[in-house]
Amino acid sequence: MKMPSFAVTGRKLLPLIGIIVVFGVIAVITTILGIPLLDRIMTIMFINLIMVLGLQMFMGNSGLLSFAHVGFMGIGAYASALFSIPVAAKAMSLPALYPALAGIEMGFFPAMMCGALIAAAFAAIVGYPLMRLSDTASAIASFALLVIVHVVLSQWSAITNGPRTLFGLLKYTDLWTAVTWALIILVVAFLFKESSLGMKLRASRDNVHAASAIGINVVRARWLAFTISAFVCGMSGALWAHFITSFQPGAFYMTQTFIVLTMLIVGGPRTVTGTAIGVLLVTIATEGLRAMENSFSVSGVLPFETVGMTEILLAILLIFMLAFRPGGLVQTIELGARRRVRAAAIDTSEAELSRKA
Amino acid sequence: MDGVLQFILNSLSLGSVYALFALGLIMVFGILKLVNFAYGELIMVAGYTWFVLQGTLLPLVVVVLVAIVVAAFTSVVTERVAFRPVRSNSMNAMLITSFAVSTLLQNSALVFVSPRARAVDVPVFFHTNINLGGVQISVSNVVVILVSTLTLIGLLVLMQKTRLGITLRAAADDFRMLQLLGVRADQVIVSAFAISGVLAGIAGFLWISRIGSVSPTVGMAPLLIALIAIVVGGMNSLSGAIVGGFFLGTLTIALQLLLPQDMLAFRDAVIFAVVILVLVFRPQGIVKGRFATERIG
Amino acid sequence: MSLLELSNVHVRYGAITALKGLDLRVEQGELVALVGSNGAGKTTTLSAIAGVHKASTGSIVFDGKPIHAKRSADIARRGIALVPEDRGIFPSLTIEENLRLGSYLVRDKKTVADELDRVFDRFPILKERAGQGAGTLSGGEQQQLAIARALLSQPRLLMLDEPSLGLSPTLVDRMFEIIQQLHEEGVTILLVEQNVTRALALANRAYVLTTGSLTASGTPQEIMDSIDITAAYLGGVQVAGTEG
Ligand SMILES: Nc1ncnc2c1ncn2[C@@H]1O[C@H](COP(=O)(O)OP(=O)(O)O)[C@@H](O)[C@H]1O
Ligand SMILES: [Mg+2]
Repeated sequence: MKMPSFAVTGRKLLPLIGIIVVFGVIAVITTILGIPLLDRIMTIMFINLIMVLGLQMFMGNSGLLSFAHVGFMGIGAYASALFSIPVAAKAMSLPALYPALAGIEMGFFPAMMCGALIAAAFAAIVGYPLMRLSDTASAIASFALLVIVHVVLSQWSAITNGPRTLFGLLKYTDLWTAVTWALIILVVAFLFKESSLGMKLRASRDNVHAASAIGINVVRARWLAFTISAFVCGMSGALWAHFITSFQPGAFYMTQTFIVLTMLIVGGPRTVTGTAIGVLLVTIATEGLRAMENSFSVSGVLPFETVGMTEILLAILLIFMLAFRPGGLVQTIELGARRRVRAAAIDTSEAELSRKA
Repeated sequence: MDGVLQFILNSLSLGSVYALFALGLIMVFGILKLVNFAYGELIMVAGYTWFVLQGTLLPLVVVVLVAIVVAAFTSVVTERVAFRPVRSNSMNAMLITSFAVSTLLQNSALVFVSPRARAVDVPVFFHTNINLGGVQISVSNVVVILVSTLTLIGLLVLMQKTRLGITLRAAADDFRMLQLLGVRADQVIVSAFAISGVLAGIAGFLWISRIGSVSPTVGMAPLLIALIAIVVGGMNSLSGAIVGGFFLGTLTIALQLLLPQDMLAFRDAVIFAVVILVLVFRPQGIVKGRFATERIG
Repeated sequence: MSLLELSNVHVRYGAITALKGLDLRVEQGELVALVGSNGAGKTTTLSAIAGVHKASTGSIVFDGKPIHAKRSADIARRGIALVPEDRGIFPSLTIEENLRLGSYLVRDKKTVADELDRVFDRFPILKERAGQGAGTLSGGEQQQLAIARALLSQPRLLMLDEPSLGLSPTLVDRMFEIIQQLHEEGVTILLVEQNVTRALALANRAYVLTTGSLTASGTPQEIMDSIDITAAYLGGVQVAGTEG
């Protein structure tokens, strides 16, 4: 294996710059058009981009599957809301809130940071032992973690309002808040991948034993990535919460996990550009399908309910991708960086195969 | 005394359904090392088959048999269409595929049948009690225990005495070697999915007759239960699944009696925390077997 | 026409090329030895023939038909049996169940019963313990079970990967006796060994493999004669072989 150089060279930056330009242009066009629906769709897309990039930082580099990250998004959303909901509204929003917390009121940025920190701290505490597991066990454990977060969010009524809708948040997030943070996180995810931590993780992804043999503390590297990525997902949760302003714990469960995973897998979890493209494409597909769904259900041409059609088609798309292009659209080399080396992707899947045998 | 007997019966009844859930999940896991997240949807499919057929004049036994066949068929179709093409890819690809299949089936039920829960006609006598030597026993408990016991015995005979059973056990031990003996992988895997589907069908009938209705997400709870049971019981053997199922069934009934109401809400969180602890500290589960998980560090 | 013929076979594990253009053939009824030090690619050769790892280039022809693109189950169905290095015992099955899987491909019940009797005659220990879990067997017994199981499929080519590995000296003797016997009964055998002297003593022909390529081939005598080229290497192997 050729060791990539540690310095981020100019050529390596090209794909990043390209993707930033693409998303920047999308944001500008959305602003110019000024269509509220498009504005909403794009804002959510940029928030999802942050969420999926957070997941990519861990999953793409370490090769471990995580179902837990949408849970971190949920923690970020609820925790930031707890800090940002105006004191006056708190009695309504969270009638059972502990008195000690009832007096807290922060601006959006500190609230978001607190939310993200809490998500990261939670991930750091529960995540450490999980990083020792690999493959199936870690996937099950992360799934268990998602369920735990969901149960706690929907039962801890004092601070989440339980399974009922939490409302009273101020709408701090607009398109450009989301865009700004998404572009920042794009850069962060890219630098993270090229950092020495990212390099160690990718080495462990390709061969755990070889990585340990050359002195990489795999557990530690995974743990750091898990924590950092939980922070990013927590941020996306805070942004989302202050855009939507009223929501329920169900927003951070299976459906969102499915959508986030689809975005990541379709685009290509190993590359930042792939991840970004996956978010874009799946958003376009989803929104296109939803529009059709709505027009069908309004016109009544189809003899059945059409809500859920989008998920069906997305699931089929995901299964196709996994069968025929499991590394995603942009597999291992960032889009636009010189040439694609497909062999590398094939080698890894072979290694995984022989490991399974 | 009556209370103790009632507790035992309830635990046995719930535990045996849980054991069937777990067995269905472990059938596929043992061979492909795949946790099939779409397993719960097989139970849902069985439930909807029941719902669709209850308007007809078919006797319940026939309806249930058809439901079991439909669940098994669905299981085999998912293998053929979704899992087989990704089998040579990474474990992650398989897991995500099963997640996608789960979403696909759930939303299909939502779109093509109904987003709301639909009631199934559970026979009235299920809810009556019979008097056995002075003890009141609900008919549904008797049915559940009877059906599960028969299923367990049937499965045991199949796995221990038949050529297919031996092949399946061998595949769980060393699939590569089995193929070197001329056994085709596809055949073994399809059989495992079929058996998994049959178990889902039977357990699904018992579960849905317990809760009385079917909805697109009705499979979620059984999946989670099966997952907990196989992790806690041990993922390397069928007996692990059975032990895990009964253990979880008993624990559930016990917690229902012991935990105060406001704590009960967090029961699932506690149980899943136990799952994580088991994965980390005793990955082989209660029933020790070979290590299923590779650990590093 | 040879029973088995490999031409220019390459096998890669990711970046490592474990076999670099191997040519090898086995005639009907022959006992061919494939020797070489640890990591030379012997196991890889057998895996490639059995279809466990696919050759990236080259061809493997068995009985006149190419098999390199076939799946391992289908290769087994054509009559190639592999006793792998790790023996591939199913530990949670009984000895008898392990053996039953050996005759998975044999349809005729009578043949299965007859073959089982013959195998039990040859390996009495397996008969004694037929109902016990295979996981309880010792290393030597596992090796016997693995060979017995392979024989039950009535293979046209039996491939043994280091059958003497990890056995006590007396068991090693016994193992080579069994191999000799099978050969005399007409079983075609491809034998992989690190115990070069013992293997060459039995073989009709032999190949010496060094890091993925052949360095010598021919009759055992010819191999011995070329000892000046490979002396140092064979010496090392012999030491390794006798340690086991
Ligand atoms: N599954 C595998 N993945 C990567 N490399 C392998 C694998 N199996 C064998 N190798 C490598 O291929 C080479 C040949 O191995 P092998 O065929 O097992 O040798 P032998 O059986 O002669 O000892 C060795 O360098 C070994 O490290
Ligand atoms: Mg070897």
